[in-house]
Amino acid sequence: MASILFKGKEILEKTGETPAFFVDLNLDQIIDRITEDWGDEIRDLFYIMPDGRDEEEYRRGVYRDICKDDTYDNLMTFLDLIKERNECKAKIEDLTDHDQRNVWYLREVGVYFEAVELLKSVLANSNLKSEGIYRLRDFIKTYTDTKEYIELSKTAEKLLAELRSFRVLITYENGKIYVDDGIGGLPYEEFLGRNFPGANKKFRTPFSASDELSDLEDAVIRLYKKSHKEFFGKIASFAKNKDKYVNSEIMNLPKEFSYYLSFIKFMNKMKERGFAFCDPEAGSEKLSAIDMYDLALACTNYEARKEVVSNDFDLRDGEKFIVLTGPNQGGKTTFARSLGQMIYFTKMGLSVAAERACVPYYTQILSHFSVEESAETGRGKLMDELVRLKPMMNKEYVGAFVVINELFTTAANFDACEMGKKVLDFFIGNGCYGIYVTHLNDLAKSHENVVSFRAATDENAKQTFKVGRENAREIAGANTQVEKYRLTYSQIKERFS
Amino acid sequence: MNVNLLYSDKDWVKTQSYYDWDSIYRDLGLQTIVDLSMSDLVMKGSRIMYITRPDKFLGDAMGKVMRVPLKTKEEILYRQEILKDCINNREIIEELYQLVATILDDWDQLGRKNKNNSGNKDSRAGLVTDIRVLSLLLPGMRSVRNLLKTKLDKLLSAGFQNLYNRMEEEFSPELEKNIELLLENISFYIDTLPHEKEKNKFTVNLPRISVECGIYDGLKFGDLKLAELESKISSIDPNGIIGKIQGSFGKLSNNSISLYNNPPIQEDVANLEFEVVSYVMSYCSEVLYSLGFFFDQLYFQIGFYRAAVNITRQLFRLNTDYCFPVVKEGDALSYEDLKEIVMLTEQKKDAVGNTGNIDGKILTVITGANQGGKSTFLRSVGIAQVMMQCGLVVGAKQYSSSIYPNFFTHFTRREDSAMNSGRLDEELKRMDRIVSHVGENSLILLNESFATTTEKEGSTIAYDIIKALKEEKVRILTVTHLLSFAQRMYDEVKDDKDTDVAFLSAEHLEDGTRTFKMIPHAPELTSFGLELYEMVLNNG
Repeated sequence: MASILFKGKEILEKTGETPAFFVDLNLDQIIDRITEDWGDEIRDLFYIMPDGRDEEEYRRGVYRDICKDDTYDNLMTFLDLIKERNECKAKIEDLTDHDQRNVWYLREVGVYFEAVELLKSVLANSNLKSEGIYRLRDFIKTYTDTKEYIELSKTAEKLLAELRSFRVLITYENGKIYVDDGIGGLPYEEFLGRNFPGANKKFRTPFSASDELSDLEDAVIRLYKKSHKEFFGKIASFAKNKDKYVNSEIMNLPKEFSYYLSFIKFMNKMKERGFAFCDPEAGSEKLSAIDMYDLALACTNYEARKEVVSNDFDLRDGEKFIVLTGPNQGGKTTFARSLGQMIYFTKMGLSVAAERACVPYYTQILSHFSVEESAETGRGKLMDELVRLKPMMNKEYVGAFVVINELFTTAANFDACEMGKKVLDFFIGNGCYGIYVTHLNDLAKSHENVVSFRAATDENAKQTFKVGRENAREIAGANTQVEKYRLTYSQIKERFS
Repeated sequence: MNVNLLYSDKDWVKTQSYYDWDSIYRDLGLQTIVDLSMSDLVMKGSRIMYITRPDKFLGDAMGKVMRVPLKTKEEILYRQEILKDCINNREIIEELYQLVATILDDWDQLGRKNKNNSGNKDSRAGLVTDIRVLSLLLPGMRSVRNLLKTKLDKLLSAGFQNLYNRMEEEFSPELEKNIELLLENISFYIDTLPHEKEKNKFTVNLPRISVECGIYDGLKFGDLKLAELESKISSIDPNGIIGKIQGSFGKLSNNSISLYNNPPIQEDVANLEFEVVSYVMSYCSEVLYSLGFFFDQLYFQIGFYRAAVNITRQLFRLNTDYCFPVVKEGDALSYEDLKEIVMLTEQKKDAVGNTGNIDGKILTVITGANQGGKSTFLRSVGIAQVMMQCGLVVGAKQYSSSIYPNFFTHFTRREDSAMNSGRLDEELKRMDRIVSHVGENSLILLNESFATTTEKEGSTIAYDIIKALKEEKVRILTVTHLLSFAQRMYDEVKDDKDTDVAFLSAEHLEDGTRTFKMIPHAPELTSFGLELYEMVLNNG
């Protein structure tokens, strides 16, 4: 089978358990929003992390292909067609009239072939070059070249065309309805078309609300069928092939496509609202981002009409761990979350919430967030933290990205500092990278591979929610009122130039 | 079908108004002009008998049109010509206005507003209304056309002449005939009751409908086409014929179905009838929309001209000269006996008229004593400019000016002038917005701007801003008490004979009497206080 999500073969063994860091990074909220109209099955796909670097790149390739040209739109149509096919099938189950069932069946088959042909033409785009799409393209080619496929699709097409060619003439006068074959002449349409030009006039059927035949339709069709017995015989024998036309692997594709499509749809919606996304430079040497923001916060703040702060940063040679300090409620946790989210979406092969981003390859994402509203005693909480920390501090997790938010807040300052240093030493020693949010300023200078970031305040010591390197250039002092409104002589001249 | 009485090439749409119309409206007191436009005078000979009750619709039309500036000389002339027609033929315009009002009233009676509220276009009632409205507006349009036809020798402007011609062209006799035929074909739908022609002899209006369709998914009807449609008047005899018809249709024949005793099929047929009539009426939807739009526009546009005529009548009542302003190129501005008609109306006493010429002056600095008539003069220019730019007459013996669609007012209101950094901030913010929106053909009236800070600071700010804007060819008229600023400007240009800066000052005669007239004069270095001091001590 040609999976576009998994490079290996053990698809069925993968289950979607929530990864440990999901809740800490508010990824559960984001994924819920992405998949809210797509169902649990699609949501669970976001819980399955790719198996290693190769599979990450495999997904990224497919994702980039789907973003090209009109591939996204066409695949959405493909999904709609498969959905329509399923609806036709469901309708047939509810119907009792044989002729009606057979005509619906004809439609069901027709829509299926339409979907497959659409997919084939989408994949024929030579701009799509990823490994996953290549594999899928091969599979579709083989499938649509089989004799069975060709024969069935031709028969269905012919029968549908014949059905479409039927015209019924219904005349109503003096309490009576006459039914005949249509003769082609439409004097009143001609009168209207000739004297009242204008497109898009729609003569609607009054009976479209229900799939059941109305009494009038039923009576008319009964009369009409009498003179077209042969055709109704043909579709009856066609319908005996029931379900033979369906390929189970084709039917599995919508689910895998939905992983990418649901994300793109969500991303497009957020873009319309003015939020930036970019395709990260994955596997780059150093971590950096421009205008990175918290996607979960962006969703809720947009609804509450509140602004979302974005941040720029870049790590330099030898900087492996960010220690982030700053005032309470100053945007520290938000920064840490958005960084974790950025790494998650990069690993998933998707776009990230930033104007630009460079993300190295990390083997894992690990997180540890303090549970603030713990009813436990101080000692109990510390214990609890250490217990949760233990499995993370595992020699196996070499090269992981670690997000730590406020460790050991209930310990004495000195103790907390010592423990924090040990934790940092361990992770750095184990080849890990990460961010450590803390109120302990001393940690910022504890290790040569640590870089100190600070959540900034303005001149009135008010939070700006901006995060950056400590000692970074201070924001310029208050401007005069005139400068503020760009109304000095030179500013006005500049505005006109 | 376009009315095009406001523009030669388009109808009224809510287009770009002056950038900050609310400020202009408030600073210049334009509500007063709108109020004037709502009432006419009833005269007996040359005597005014009474002022008519205000017609709010007229004020509404005036207010809306006024806020959108005309942008070319041709556009202004186009309206001026039509306005002249209206002034010369007040009775015709009145008749036309009343005729359209009657038709719109009838339309309202048909539930126009209800329909808009419910928004349910698919309902049978809505469809019936559409048919009735079309049956009303089509002959209504004919009446308007006939009225115009008889008065064409008096309505000489391009606007009225073209309006009539367009009505002739766009509603050809053939189109009218076809609409009538179509209405006839679907008449069964609104004509549902039997008519008693003679005693006990009834006729009914019944349809003959022939529909062709394809067979779609699940054997349902699809792709419907209308083959034939007519309404036929048939006689019925209440004493038996119905019974006979029913008897003969009782059986199902080889290719026909009887509706007799079959309510479900009768209901289906009724639904099909509805779709047929909807479909046919959809071919008239453009005509119907166009007629509806036409009458709305005509009422609105004629309303504007009635309001404009009313303004001239009111100026007559106030004993004030008015003229059609002349549009000139190149930052022109000259005026003869220009009056501030808002104040004139409000205070009901004769105002001082100003005469002058500041053609080509990019910057005009107006200084002088308090209560000397500076602001009044500034407003009179603003009011005249707005009126000119919507095609109206101006309260002056003569007025000529260039067109400034980018027109701004930046007035410090009395109550704002307390020294207060918040106020300055607010002033600068407004100025910032203005600077963001000025461009070609911009005019800014500044009235005591930047007086909310110290003289020194205010002068610096004013000098910087005004200097920069002047260099960008933004025309400015400023009334100011900032003497350092005015003096600095004056020193820069006083030796330049071709300067594009003018300095006006409130005139005061040698004995100190103030005339409230603006005359060319170097910036005044004395204030009213000193003048008063002189007056009291030297004359006393």
